[in-house]
Amino acid sequence: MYQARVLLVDDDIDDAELVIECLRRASMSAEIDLVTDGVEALEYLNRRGRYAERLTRNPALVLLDLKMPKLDGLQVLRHLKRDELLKRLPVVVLTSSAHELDVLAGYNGGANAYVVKPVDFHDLAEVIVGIGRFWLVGNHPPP
Amino acid sequence: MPDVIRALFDTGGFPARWYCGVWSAQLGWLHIISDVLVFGAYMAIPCLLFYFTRRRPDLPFLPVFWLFCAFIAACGATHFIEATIFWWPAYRLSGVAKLLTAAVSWATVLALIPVLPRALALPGLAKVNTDLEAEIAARRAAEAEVKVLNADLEERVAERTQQLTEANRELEGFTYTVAHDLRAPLRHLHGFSTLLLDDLTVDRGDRLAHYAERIANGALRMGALIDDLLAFTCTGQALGQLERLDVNPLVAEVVEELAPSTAGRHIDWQIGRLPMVIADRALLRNVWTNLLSNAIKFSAQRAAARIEIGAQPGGADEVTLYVRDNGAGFEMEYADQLFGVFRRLHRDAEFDGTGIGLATVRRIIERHGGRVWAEGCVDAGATVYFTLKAAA
Repeated sequence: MYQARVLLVDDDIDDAELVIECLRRASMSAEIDLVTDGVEALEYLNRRGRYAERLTRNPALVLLDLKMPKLDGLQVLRHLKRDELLKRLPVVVLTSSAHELDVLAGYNGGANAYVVKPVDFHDLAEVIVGIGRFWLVGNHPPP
Repeated sequence: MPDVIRALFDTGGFPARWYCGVWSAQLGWLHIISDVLVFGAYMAIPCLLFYFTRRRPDLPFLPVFWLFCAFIAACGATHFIEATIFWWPAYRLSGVAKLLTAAVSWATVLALIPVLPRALALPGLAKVNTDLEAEIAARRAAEAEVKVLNADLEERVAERTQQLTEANRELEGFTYTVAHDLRAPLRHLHGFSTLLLDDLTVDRGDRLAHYAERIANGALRMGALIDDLLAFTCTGQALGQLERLDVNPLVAEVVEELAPSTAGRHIDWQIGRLPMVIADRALLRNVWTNLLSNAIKFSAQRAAARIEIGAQPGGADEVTLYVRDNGAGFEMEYADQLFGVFRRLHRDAEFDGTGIGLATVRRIIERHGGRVWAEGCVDAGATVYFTLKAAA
């Protein structure tokens, strides 16, 4: 069976664990790769540095946090959208900030969706499952 | 008395002057014409002096002027009598006139003596002018100084305004960051306590599950507080478009919007005729939403809840609007606390909420230049009043 792959970019391990738990509970058959900062995310996607030997296919979806050390989410987004090979990759910004300027910056940077992580775990689960259903089940990733 | 006057005008014993001595016509008329001219001039001078003193009541030594008038007029009279004596030898009258003149003249001399040093002490016109010029210069210097001080003041006001604006911006940034960064740990608290709860209910004691639930609820409540604080920080930071607004449809809209929260309840809405006001539509809508949801919430325990919305005539160009309910009310003693951020007069268990609603109302109304206050009584309901500019 085809296993969708998701790249989760989040410096907050607790948040990452909750998101993974949500996906697991929804019985989403997704492989989740976790990277914890922007530099690592680009290394992963470009198969460089630590990920030079990565053999797996590229993910069907990137879940991207905004506030991260070294290279923040917006910078990662800018790199992706300038890269001929990666620019079609769906990116969902998954962050804590509901600030209008952040939302605008996310969409202007080429994000496919902007999602604010709710405090309530049940709401978070619902949101993550929604994202999974749409991007991993309903949506056809670029070839 | 008539005897004295008769004696005064008696000319007996004297010939007219023409017949006393050998007068040539030229010499006689020289005397007569000169005396009459002197008389005319001496009468004119007091008249002019009199006119002058009347027009200049501020003159110093005014009595001396009056004495001058009297003595010059007396001199004039003696000259006139001298002229008439050529035909009418009234030497007695002439003598008395000269005596009077002498008396007035000496009175003038005596009056002048004490006045003289004081008159000398008066500053000359040149001195007065110099003094005036000095004063003008001093005033100009003072004016210039005031201008400099004003400019300095304006500069300081601008500087303070700038500092205040920066402080405000920093505060907003701070509030945003706090609100934003505080949400992540809360999500973890709620998330993991929920996971814990799910695992516990199966085979562990209820006590642990209860604790996990308490943690999860605490996290949710804190999340709500942060969201409200963030909303409050953003609300009414700037007054938007002020327009002429009909309050009636706005209130009707809000009442309809809140209908789901009153499902299953009977509320007697008493909505009076509301006036036109000058306000920002979105912000005023927020005010009504807060006030009406409060009224709905705090009257929830009444079998027959009544919510009254009305207007009272305010000052010249303002109107007072109010929302009155027959709900839980509050103690008047704490009326001021109602409008503070996160100030609540009821426990969460009685009525939910974070305590930001009335703070938001106050903020918006004050941004509009209005006032807001509340009246109430425990178990007898509350009335919240606010003022807005009336639309002409």
